[in-house]
Order: sequence, then structure tokens, then C-alpha cells
Amino acid sequence: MASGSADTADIGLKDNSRAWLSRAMIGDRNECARNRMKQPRQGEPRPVSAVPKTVAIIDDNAAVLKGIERLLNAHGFATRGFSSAESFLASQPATGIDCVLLDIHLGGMSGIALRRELSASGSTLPVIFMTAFDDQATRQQAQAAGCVAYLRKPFAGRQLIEAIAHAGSGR
Amino acid sequence: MGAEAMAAAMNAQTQGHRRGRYGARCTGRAVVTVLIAGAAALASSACLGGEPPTRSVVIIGQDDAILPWNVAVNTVARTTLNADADRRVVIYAEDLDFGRFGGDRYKRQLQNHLREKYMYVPVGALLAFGPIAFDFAMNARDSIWPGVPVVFGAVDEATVAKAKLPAGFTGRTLRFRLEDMVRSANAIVPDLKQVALVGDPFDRSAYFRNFAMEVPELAKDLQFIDLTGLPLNQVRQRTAELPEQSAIAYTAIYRDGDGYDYMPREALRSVADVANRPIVVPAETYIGYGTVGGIVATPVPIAEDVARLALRILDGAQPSDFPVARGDYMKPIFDWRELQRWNVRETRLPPGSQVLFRQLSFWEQYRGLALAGAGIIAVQATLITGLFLERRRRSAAELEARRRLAEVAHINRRAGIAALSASIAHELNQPLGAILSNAEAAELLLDRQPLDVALVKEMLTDIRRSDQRAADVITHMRELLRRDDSEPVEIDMNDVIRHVIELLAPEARQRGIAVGTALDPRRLLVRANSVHMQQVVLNLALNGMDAMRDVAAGNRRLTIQTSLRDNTAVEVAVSDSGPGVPADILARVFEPFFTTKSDGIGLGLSIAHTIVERAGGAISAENRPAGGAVFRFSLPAATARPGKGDAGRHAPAQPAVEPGRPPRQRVTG
Repeated sequence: MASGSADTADIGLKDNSRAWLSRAMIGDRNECARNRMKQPRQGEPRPVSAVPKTVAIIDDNAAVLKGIERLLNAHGFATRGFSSAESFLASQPATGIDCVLLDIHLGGMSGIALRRELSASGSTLPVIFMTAFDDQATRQQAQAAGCVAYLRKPFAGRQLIEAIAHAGSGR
Repeated sequence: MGAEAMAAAMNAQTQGHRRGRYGARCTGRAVVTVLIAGAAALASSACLGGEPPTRSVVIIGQDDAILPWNVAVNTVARTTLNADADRRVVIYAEDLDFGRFGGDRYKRQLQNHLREKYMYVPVGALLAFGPIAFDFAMNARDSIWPGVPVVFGAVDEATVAKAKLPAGFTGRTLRFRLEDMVRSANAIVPDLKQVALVGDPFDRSAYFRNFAMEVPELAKDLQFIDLTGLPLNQVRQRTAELPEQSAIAYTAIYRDGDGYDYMPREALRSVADVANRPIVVPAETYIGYGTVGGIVATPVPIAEDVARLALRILDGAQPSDFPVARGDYMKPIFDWRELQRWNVRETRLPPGSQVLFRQLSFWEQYRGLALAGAGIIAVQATLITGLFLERRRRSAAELEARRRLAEVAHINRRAGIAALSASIAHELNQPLGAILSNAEAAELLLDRQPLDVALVKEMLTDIRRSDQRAADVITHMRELLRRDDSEPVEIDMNDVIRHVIELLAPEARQRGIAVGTALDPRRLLVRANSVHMQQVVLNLALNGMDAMRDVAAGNRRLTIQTSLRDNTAVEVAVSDSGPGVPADILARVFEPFFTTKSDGIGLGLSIAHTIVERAGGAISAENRPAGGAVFRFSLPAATARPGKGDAGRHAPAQPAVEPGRPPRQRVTG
């Protein structure tokens, strides 16, 4: 598990300017996290070779969800898609997921609320927020809740991949 | 449809008053007639004694009068019957609804009831719409309305051919054929191999009872997937995973395999939401609800023709003067948006096809928006072309997307509502995001060996759909840009509510929602723009109605209440019996992008919020202890001073807020 990612977020999110955004998105290109990911988890045997990182994606827009999943699959990631925060929570999120890509404006429980819930339950899963509605208030909420990156839709694959690498590099 | 339904409602109302007067007079006269002549059978030509002959008819409807088809038929029939304002026709209506109230015992009871009811009511002609009404007229006319001429419509010619028509029967038939549906499906799907049949089983169906006979012949050329009579959820499952080169033929689900009753169009919509193949339909009233269309029966000419025949008979003609004939009621009509979705060229459609919902006038009328729409399509084209021709152009396309988006956002100046730009951006960013992800993923896949052509194709299809979605967003916007910006004047809030109720009534009825009002009897004067206030109330009401989608029929209630608080503020409360607003989002419901509905655009409440605020008022949402949500807004009361008042003149310094309820703070900047 990429422990300590919350610290990374805090470092990156001290200011709310665009500078923060670009830093968070370009981030640290170190992809060392992959090595850690290759270790099989307890009670969940995995093939030793070519273990992909698994990214959970939570978005209530089916078209967006499918598109991102395909993009990440094409980049060699395993994905698990959820259409709501509730269904993600119901799936016992602690197991088998390396990173969460979370839409902020979900129907039902919001992405921000889910992030808080995860923190409250002691989870250290790195979270990348994404939103199709970008404004000061949303950004501040995302920042306050804690995240390793904040992506505005539509975003390029490169930004997403870098953000995930950044999440995995958690120092 | 909305306008038609409203016209029907209003028509029904005025008809009701008239019926009261007229009925009383004729009844008295009819009693005398019976006493003197002892000939109740002559009730049809009652009101004797030198008076003009009775001009009254009974319209027999076969099922629920608020089904869209029936609304259209009834509205047009009534309008046609009373086209001549000087020679009004009294119209009675009886709706049989045998689908839900069946059985011989009930039919006998109904027959007895109608016999009593019309015992002394003169009737000049019966109008029977639909095969069940036709059957009923055949069996029951002589005991209820002896000798009264019958004009029928919307009955399949095969059904009429099988019947032995008694004297006094005439009408117009149509030709309902499964073959026509298959023909439409063939036009939509090249190399059509399979057709999934969705609807009530043919042998239980009224309109489509003759379809079963055609199946063996048609099955020589293609395979039918019989989904008739299944529970709706199974139908939804099956229609979501149909093979390619198939289409869905939807007739009507009145009652599904689990025994639940539906309005056929509601059931259709629920299938269309999930279906993975195009849906062809046999009736015009299904078009516009996620169906591609087809060779469809058109209610308007049917109702016109039947009503005209009835008028001729009321004027003294004999039914035998008009032999039964087939009318030209089956028209090829298609939904442009669905043709786009399934990539159908119009040259494939049957000759003479009419294509509805074409967005042509939109281009002409709204140049600015059209440009933005064209921009998005250009982005799509750029992306796809870039994908196949030159990968490098991708970043340029991205820039283009951003630039176009900025253009779209720019449009909000026209609207002048700050909320709009945020919502446009949000609603367009979603499909743009999906387009970008799919395009990039497809690019990567193209480099792989072996090439997964099917997957890439699927991605391109999704790109096209997302593009369509973006185009739809823009179409919604034009509704909001059509605004009335005249100066605020003194208006009575109760009048506003009454206007809105009028607008809403048909929609509410269709959704099975009871709408009630509790209006303060005083005049509730505020200084505002009437159209804006209607928009606020309408948005709140529609929001409440949407919230009750999953509430059991019979428990859907919408209540609009007005009151005067401390003589300083006029308050309107719109409450529903839905599940209420979850506490964690209660504070955010007025944010511009915020919606919990999968098909919602998240604008209604935020626009209400903006309008109320601009008029110097306040708006809030809360849950009721008894369940459901209540949305309130209040405006400063315009004290009706005799002098030329400056009352409430924008007065933002003193928003009328009742004690204890602080003005709601806007969440967004």
C-alpha cells in the first residue's frame, strides 16, 4: 500500500494556486511505486509476473467511466469502475486497489464526503480528484479533503498517468 | 403533446359546464317525450316538437383517457366536432378500461349502469375509438343506445372484416401490420437478421391481435426473438444485450408478465433507456421517447375523419351513406436524433418519410449556439480524423476543444445568468472528457497487434454518442435562453401559481401525481416579472415531481401553498411526497451544476435561486418531518399603496425574510 501519500498531498497542496495544480499533475516522475505494487497482498494470491497497478475509478457518468477505464487499460493498468461512492464503499475498498480516481460531483454521497469517510476510517489510499466543474470552491474543498492530484475534465491521458505515478511514488 | 393535453383538459372543463345546462334541459324534455310517445328507443332523436335535432354524441374510449394516444384522439375529435361555434355538439365520454377492469360480470354491470345513465339522455351518434370500444359498441349498443348510429375508428381492417357489422355501423379502419414494423426495421438495420418482439402477447392485445397470423410468413426471412409477455425487468435485461443486426419491435405493454400495469409509453421509455438496439414502433405517440419511429398510426387524421362522419350523421345523413373504408393513417415517421444515433441515412427510409426533431430550425434561429455546436462536432471530427490520419494532431484538437468550450461559455452573456456558464461547462466537459479518453485509448490500441477492431469500433460509437449528448445539452440551453426580460410589475402570486398549475396539470396526470394547492385567499402582490416567477414555481414543481419517480403510484402528491408573512413577505412552498433530500446535499441543491438525476442537467433549482435572489427574495430547501421535501421562496410583499408606490423597487437592501430564517448563503462564488 502506498502509505504516506497523504503527506505528499499535504506538501503539494499548501497553496491553492495553479502552481499547485501543475506541481501535483506533473508531480514526481518516479515510478518506483510499481515495485512495491508487485508484492502480492495477504490472502490475495496474484501471479508474480506483470502485476498491474489497480486503479479504482468512481464516476456516475457511465460514458466517462467507460472511457477512463479503457484509457487506463490501454496503458496497462487494471481498473475497477464504480458508479457511486456508496457502491465503492460496499465493495470493501481496502483490498486490491492501489489508487482511487474520484469524481467530486457524484449523485448521492459526494467525492469529497467519500474522501473524508476514507480518511476517518484510517485509509491511506491515495486519491486523485477529478471534476467537470472547476471553480475556486471546489478546488478548496478538494484540497481540504486531501488528494495527490486534482484533474479537470476533459484531461489528457498524460496528465492522468502522471498523477497516478505521483500517487504511487508516495514518499 | 403537452399543449394538446392541456387543450383537452380545458376543453373537458368547459364541456363539463355546458353539459350541466344542456343535460338538464334535454332530460326534462326527454321525460315528456317518453310519457307522450312511450318510445324510449327514440331517445336518439329526442327533443322533438319542432326543436332542432339533438346534437350530442358519446365518445367511447377503450382504455385510460390520459394515455397519450387517447388524449390526442379525444382532443382532436372534440375540436372537430365543435369546429362550428354556432352549432355546438354536446359531448359525453365513457372510458371502458377493460384492460384493468375486466370480466363478464363487470361488463354486464357497466352495461346496466350506462343504460340507466343514458335512459333519458338523447344521443345522436356514438364514436368508438379502438378495437375494444368497437367490440363493446357491437355487443352493447342495442341495450344501451338502441338504434343510435356508431362511427368507429382506429380498428384494424382485419378485425372489422371478421365482424358482422349491424345496421347503423360505419367507420374508418386502418392497416396494422407486423410486416410494416419489420419493413421499418429493415430500413434502419442493414442485413437485419433478428427482430425482438416486445409488448403484451398478441393474443391478449387489442390493437395488435392480428399480428400473430403474420409471424409464420415473416419468419421465413428473419428470426423473431419473442419477448412478449415477460416481466418488464426481464425485458429490460434481454433488450440490453441483443445481437448486432437486430432491432426491437415494440407494440404496447399494458400489463407485464408479473401482472404490473403500465402506461405503454412509460414501459417503452423504461425499455428504451437500456436497449442496445433501435426500437421501431407502430404509433406516432411513441416517437420522441427513444424510439426510431416506423410506419406509424397517426391519431389526428383518425379522430378528424371519425368526427366528421359523426357530424354528417348528426346533420341527418345515414350511416349507410358512408361505407366502411380504410383511411390513410399509417405514415412513415422517424426521429432524426435516433437516425443519427444508429447512423441511418435518410435515403434508406421508405419513400415519403417524415423526419421529426430535426435540429434545422435551431441552426437558423440560434446562430451563436449553432456555431458552438458546430465547434463540438468539429472537435469530434478533428479527433477522429486525427486518430486515423495523423496522431500528432491530437494536441491541437485538445486546444481546439478548450477554445470551443470557452466560446460556449461565452454565450451566457446573452442569458445574463451566472449559473448558466458553469452548467454549460460542466455538462459539456463530461462528454468531452469521455470523447478524449476514448480517442486516446483507441490511438493506443491501434498500435497493438493483433488489432482489436471490434473494441476500437465500440469506442468510436461511444465517441459519437458523447458527441450527441453534448449536442443535446446545447438544445436544452436554447430553452433557457428564450427569456422575457421585461420590467418587474405588480403581480398576484396566486395568479402565477394558477398559471403554472395549468401548465403542469397534463404532465402531472401522466405521471400519476396528484397536484393540490392551498392558496392564501388574499391578493398576494409582489413586484416581479411574471414569466420569471412562473419559471421559478415550474422549476420547483418539476423538481418535486422528478423526486417522486420511485414513489408508489397513489402516493405521489405535489402541494403548492402560498401565504402572507407578517404582511411583509409573500411565501410560496412547494412540497412533494418523495424520499426527501439527503441531509448531506441539502445545502448544495441550489448550486448550478448540482443534480442527482441521471438525465438531469442540474439547472432548474439554480435558476430558481438566481431569479428569486435578483427579485430581492430568498429561497430554501428542507425536509418535512412527515417525509418529502419542501422548497420555499419568499419575496417582499408589494404593499398596494394608492400612490405611485416605490414599493419593493428591487430593494436588495431589505430582502423579505421571515424571522428566524436567515437568508441562504450561496455556496459557490
